[in-house]
Amino acid sequence: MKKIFALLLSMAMILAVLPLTSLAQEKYIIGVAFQNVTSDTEIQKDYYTNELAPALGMEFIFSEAIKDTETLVTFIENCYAKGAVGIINYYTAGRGRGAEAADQYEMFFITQASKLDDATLDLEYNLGNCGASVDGMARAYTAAMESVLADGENHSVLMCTTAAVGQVAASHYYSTQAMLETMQNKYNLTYSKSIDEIINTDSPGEVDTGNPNIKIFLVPGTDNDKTLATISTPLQSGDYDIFVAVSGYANYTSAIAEVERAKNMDIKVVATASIEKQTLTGFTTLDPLGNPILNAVILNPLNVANAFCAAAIYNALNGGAEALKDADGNAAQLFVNPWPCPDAETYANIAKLDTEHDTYVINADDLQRLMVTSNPDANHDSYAEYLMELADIDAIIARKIK
Amino acid sequence: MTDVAIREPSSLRNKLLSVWENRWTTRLMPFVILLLIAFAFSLATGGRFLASRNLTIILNQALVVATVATGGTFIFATGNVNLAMGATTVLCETVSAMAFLAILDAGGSVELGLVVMFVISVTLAVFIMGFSAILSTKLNVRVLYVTIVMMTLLAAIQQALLGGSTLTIPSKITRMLANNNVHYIIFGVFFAFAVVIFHFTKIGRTLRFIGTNEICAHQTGKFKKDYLLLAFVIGGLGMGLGAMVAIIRSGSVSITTLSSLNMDTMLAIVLGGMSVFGGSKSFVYAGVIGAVTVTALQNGMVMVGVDSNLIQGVRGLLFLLLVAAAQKRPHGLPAPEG
Amino acid sequence: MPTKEVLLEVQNMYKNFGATVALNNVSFTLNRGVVCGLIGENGSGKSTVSSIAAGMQPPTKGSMKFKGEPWAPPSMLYAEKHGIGMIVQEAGTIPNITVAENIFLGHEAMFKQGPIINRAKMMAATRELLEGLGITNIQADQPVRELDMQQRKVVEIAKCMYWKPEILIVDETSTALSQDGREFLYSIMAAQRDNNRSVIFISHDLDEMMEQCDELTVLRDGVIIGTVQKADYEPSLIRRMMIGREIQGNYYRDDFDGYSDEVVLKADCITTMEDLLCFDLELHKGEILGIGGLSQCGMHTVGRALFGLEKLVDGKVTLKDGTKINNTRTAIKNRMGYVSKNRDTESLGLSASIMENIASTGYDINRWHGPGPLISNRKEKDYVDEQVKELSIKCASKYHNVNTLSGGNKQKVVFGKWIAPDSEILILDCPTRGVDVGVKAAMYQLMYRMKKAGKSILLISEELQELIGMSDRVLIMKDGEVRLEMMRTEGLTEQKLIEYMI
Repeated sequence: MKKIFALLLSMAMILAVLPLTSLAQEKYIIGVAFQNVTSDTEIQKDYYTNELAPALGMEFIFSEAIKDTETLVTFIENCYAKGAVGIINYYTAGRGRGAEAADQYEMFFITQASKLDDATLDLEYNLGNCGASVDGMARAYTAAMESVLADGENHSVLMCTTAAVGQVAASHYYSTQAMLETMQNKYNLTYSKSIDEIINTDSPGEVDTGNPNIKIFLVPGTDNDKTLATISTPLQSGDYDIFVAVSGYANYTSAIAEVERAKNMDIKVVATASIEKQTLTGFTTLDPLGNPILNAVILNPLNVANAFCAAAIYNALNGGAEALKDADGNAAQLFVNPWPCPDAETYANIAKLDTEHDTYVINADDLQRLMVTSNPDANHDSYAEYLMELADIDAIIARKIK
Repeated sequence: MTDVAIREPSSLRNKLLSVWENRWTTRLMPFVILLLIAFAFSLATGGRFLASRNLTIILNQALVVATVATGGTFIFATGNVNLAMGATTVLCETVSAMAFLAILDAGGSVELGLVVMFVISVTLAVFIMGFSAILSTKLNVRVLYVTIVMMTLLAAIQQALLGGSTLTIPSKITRMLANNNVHYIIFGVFFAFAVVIFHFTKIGRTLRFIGTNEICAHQTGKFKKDYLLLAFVIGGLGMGLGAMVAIIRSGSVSITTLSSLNMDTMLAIVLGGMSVFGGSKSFVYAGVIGAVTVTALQNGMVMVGVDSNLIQGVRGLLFLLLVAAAQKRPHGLPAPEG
Repeated sequence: MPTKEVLLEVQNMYKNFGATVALNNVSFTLNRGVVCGLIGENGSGKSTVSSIAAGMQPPTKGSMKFKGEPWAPPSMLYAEKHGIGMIVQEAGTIPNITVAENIFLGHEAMFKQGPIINRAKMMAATRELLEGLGITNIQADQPVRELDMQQRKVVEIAKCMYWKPEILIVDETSTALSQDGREFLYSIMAAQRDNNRSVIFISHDLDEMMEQCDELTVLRDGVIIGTVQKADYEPSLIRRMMIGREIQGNYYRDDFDGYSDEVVLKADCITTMEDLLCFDLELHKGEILGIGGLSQCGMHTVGRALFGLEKLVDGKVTLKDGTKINNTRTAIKNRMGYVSKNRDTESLGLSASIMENIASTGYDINRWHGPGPLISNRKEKDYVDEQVKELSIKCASKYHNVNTLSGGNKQKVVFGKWIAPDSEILILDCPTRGVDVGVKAAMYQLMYRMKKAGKSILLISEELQELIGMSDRVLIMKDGEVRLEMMRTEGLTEQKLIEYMI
């Protein structure tokens, strides 16, 4: 009796989670494959659903956190089964295999990454990348490092390099490079290996700087939990007073605060951050020694890449695929410049962006410039030009925040 | 004094109960569940769920878990739980991919690289599992605890080998292998082998009997330590082959690859109708049916548009209900003599 | 003088387990001051009806009245507290807690002071109870795992008696007790009667039942066949009521056939870790060699050692061709079989089917072709079917699990397992324990047939009657040694054997 009941209940559940209406056939179904699911993700989902979807006539399917290539391929296949015609991919390590899978199912594919996968450039349905500008990130990290080293004292750096090894995420690689070069120039360090070799070391460890008073410890790896465990020992040694993260820092603030309290020291934090309450808190909250938790952040515009990726797929579906490729007809790279944010005031303004239609950096009205149906000249070059304009945060704030 | 008339179960209830208690009911229930799921989703998607392309997609997605789980049933049949299946598979994937790439870098042929990759993957997996079994019997430590240690050790080795990097097999090669149905062949041959061994030879019967009652098995001349090793070796074979299927499917391996494989495999085995305690209610196809059921559910939920935030929760609840429906539990008779 | 007040009335009771009918319209009454015996073959329903009265499970249909009021206890704890206590057949104590904690299991709230349980009070109450019952060799604060099986049963009895039950149900408890233990139990039962309370006593031992009970109610296949008062007791009548037919021939053997001189199995000065020191034994072809003694005399170890289950510190066990038996695999390969006294835990896979259990000794025999690896399902089926038929194993299907069978049928499965591969030497350790009369008789006949076919049987038993009735030669052991060896003769009695046992 209980078994039959359990079976019937399962069937009822399956039928109950159906949407009540089937989707309108004229909408394009696009799969969005998130690498991590954080509070940012909800903000992005809202943007996709409330702003991009109506403007582009799309319906978006969102994935769970994609941890490996197998999961990405599975998601792509399931999207295909649902009738999707495009994929926006965030899982950088799987961009090659993902492009192949999407190409096999004739789905347009674009990745939010900073480095193209050479093996899949020529695939018909691969539209390339739209990701953080590596030069922009390098410049931003250089500026941020110089600002925290400006006091002339000796400092040691603990850095999470995330996907820098092998340039899986090129921006991570170049951000790490920028930090190492800045440290080298500042303290006349003589590294025993080349910077490239140092960054490409698979395992976490101390860098041989040639100067016993200046320590640098690098921690690669994309698994936040594993990284947190790995940084614990060097952090608790109290030897490192600057913490740098090439991607988010939020996972590590508690650990850092604990060490600051225990060792009665200030650890400066330089990281890529998101536009969220936590970042504002980071700027305005003081650590045990009366210093703000965050010292300098590099903010990646939250939804700019999303808009460009969605628009790129839209154009491809409307006959504009070739216009997005490079001169050789291969998948091309677009770069989104980060916004440097040295203080709370700047941050407060940036935080007002991307909250509603009027404040979205690229809202439905701005999108027209990217859509080939309203702007027949929209192509790779015009996209790149627009992205350069969007590097000027002050101009954006002036335009959007009245 | 009363004499006793023979009482035949004549009511419909008794007839239904007889069917329910029939041994085939337990065996067929997971198939019935899978068919019902397929039917429900097909209804919900206007038939698209059952399109041949989608069914192929489901099969492809299930193949890695199905391969590893098929080998895993040999171990689970003895009443033991192995938590190192995922770590073993991924390590084999890593080492064999490294070997393959090294051979290519050294100028060797693709064919040689593939053969070496295959041999290394299978040999390493069999070695790791055999070692685990011997550790368990020699040290007289439960398999569960030995495999927990092995899981941690293997993950550490993989971390040391890979760090933050990702190994990628050239897509031309994985595509070539996929186009030649190598992954299907690997699974098919292994599954056929497993079915024969498990259901038609002494080995399978003995493993199940050990899972039913180890002491009784010993008293019928079947020594656990010998058969446990055998079970682990066959399980290892499944893991080594599963690693090959994974490479063909995704072409890359990083530290996060197949991180939930062990749980997925155990879930598949349980969902496929096999008892968590092993013993006589063990079927080698349980892993396959369970793997297909899990992927069909996932696929179906995306197709019908379940919110990604809800998918985990819905999946968990469905699994609970389906396991409740599929697993046979004791009725709770008092003294059977009464 | 017992009054005729009706204490318990069971009315039109049915109990089904799935499609299996355990009780089929059972009605009976129990008067005050009566020791009522429930007797029947395995599967007759006696434990079922008493366990329902004791609150272990509800009936499918029917009702009960206790002391004139409707009685439907929701649990054993409730029943215990309100007047019906049961000592179960299986182990009813929890090994890793103390005697006191076992006795008051589920009733700890009685000793609560605020949120805490006053253990001192619990201990005191336990001591008082044990002293009141005359139990001196068990301490209240002893962990039960330190007690032997018999002492644990005594704890269970004490636990039951704390509540001064109006009806005490004793379910097959006496089989686990030695003579002292049984005497204690009988005294409790007599005290119940003397205090105008009642007892429902369930046992297989007809002699014991006839001695202890004022009336016997016979059940068969879930139906009450009839009730016989003490004055009308007649063993063969009662047996016939239990089985529904006459037992053909004699219960035990009645021949004095000898056996061959050929030694088929020999224990040569074997010493084990415990129990045996330089023990010798010879088993002959066509012989039934009986070994008896008190439970701890070492006879069970002898059986295990001969089958390769016991590690030998010194000495050896050999077959006639000199093959050494040092593990079970070698023993079985040389056509030996072993029926353990712990049937459910050692001789059977309870959650496996009859088919799987019997077939477990035939994997090498039922191969498809010669020494090939594949097993033939058809051969296996025939292998099992033959035993089911020959031994008349009562089951709905050979694919049903063994745990659905009665004790006697389970034992038949164990026998079948060893007869199927045509074992030449069988070691039987308490083979008829927990088995009813009809099946016992069948087993004795089987043993005799095997002897006549030239097989050799080592029969280890705690029942002297059985040894005397069935053995060609009887060895009585004490403290790991043979104290007496007697050949099968007329006039061999229990008295002659007992003095060498104790």
